[in-house]
Amino acid sequence: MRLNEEQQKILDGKKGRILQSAMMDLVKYGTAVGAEEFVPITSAHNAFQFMGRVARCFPPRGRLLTEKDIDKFSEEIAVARVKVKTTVNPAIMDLRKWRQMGADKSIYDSVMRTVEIARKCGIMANYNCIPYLTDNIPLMGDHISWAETSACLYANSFLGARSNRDSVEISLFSALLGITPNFGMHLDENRKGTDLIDVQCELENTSDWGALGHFTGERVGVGIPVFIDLRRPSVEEAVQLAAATNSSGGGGVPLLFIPGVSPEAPTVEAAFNGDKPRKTYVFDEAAKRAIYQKLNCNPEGKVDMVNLGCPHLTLHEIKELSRMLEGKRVAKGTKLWLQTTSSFRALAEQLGYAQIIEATGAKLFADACLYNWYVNTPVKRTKMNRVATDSVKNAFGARRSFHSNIFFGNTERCIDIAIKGGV
Amino acid sequence: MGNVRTFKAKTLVPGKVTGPALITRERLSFQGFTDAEKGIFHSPQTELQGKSFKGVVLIYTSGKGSSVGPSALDLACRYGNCPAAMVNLEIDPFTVQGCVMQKIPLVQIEDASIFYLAKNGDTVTVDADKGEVIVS
Repeated sequence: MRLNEEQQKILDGKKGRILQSAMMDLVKYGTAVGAEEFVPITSAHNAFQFMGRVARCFPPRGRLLTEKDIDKFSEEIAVARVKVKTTVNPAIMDLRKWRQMGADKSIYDSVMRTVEIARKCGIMANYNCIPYLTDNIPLMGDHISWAETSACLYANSFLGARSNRDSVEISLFSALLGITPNFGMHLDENRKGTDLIDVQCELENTSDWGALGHFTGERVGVGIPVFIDLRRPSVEEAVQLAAATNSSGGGGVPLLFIPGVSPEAPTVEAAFNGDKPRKTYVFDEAAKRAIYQKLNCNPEGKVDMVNLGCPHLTLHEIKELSRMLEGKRVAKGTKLWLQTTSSFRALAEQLGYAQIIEATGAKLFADACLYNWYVNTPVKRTKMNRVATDSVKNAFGARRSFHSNIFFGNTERCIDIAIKGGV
Repeated sequence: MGNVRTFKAKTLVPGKVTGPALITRERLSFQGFTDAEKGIFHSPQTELQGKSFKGVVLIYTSGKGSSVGPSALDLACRYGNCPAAMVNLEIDPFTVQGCVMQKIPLVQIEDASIFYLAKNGDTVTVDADKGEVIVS
């Protein structure tokens, strides 16, 4: 890779160990993928959950880190500071209602220490997975480096920003340096469709859009799908499409085009930019039904947890949920947990939606992700043998992470289950 | 040694190592599918469930899944359970990123016949410097 004088200085270690390490890995990564140079970025989105985890992005590698290693690293990263607007993925708990999630004070303290270091480092620890609707909204053509399975796809496909599918590490290195290897989705010539998805059924709700995403990710593998005969999505439907596509078990989709919706693809022809699709897949009623069947391993019986808000709920979704839940009561022995961003929860409280929701016995949590909480919080775990959700990403991930029996259905069905206590 | 087969490979992360093959046509992620401490695939959602990935040449279709995949690979390597090399047919960026950071040789081959010409436990040399995968 060609480096300018400043970049070479960083590589030579003249700006400290952290930036040198970040530059070394970015150069090696850029070389591996055939990038010839770096491109300046305007924003990054990665993860900053707890310092032990962040420290693992950097050497020493190949051995477990000691408390001393982590303390030393925390001081170094605070001084290194990010060069661009940087936000982060959900935390392992709600930063305000952590006790209600079953976390203890020592975990809370370690999270708050992480928040403080993030602040010193210049990172906005917003802890949400929909930064493109809240605190980090790129413009068309902006070069960015985003981790998060669905956020990167959304930013590329619906905002016309340019990000490769970056890991938490690569995105943090790019944030610290303000640059990223210039290849893949950063280049015009790679931003064109590879596969055609012919939609031949009605999509009635966000879960149906998730099912379409799952089908697409699974079929396309590594590629760029273009949809035809697909109606315009709402923002919430677009969020579910992006989230499901890249949690499908397929190889990974950096970009998708809905002609007339995606800013770079006014037409199908523009989406393929002169290429012919390598394959066409038909998403019809039978294909949709098959996805629901595949994701449902819990046909009937009691449900321990109904979980909505994967990705985080928008204010509109919270409002709709408050309307659906008003005056009702969540069944004894069943939990109804909702996740959103701190900003949307604050508004939901101000507007009275949160009070209506919580009067039913449901919990409106912010900051947290159910997986991050479940996997990383060493607390007495909430019973989650049987989980109901309206999100494909959640359904697919919950089965894997909690080994739960899953009910996957639309939001109305999930609310109904929470009220009745079972399917 | 009449069965030695050489596959032409494109190098992504350099290095040369020899190890036993662990093969699947599946797409794999380290996040959620592996037990880092034990160095095994533990998820029932992969046919490699119960198999150790420590020191193996992992031959599979491509990476997949979460942007914390490289972090899960990192943790396994910190427990001393690093794979020796990886051979993919399609390239997912998370695999490249993970291999770069852990210095695991990674190559891409086009010839899918490796899936039936090689079997688990065969000795495989990945010569990412020369651009070759040799199955014997």
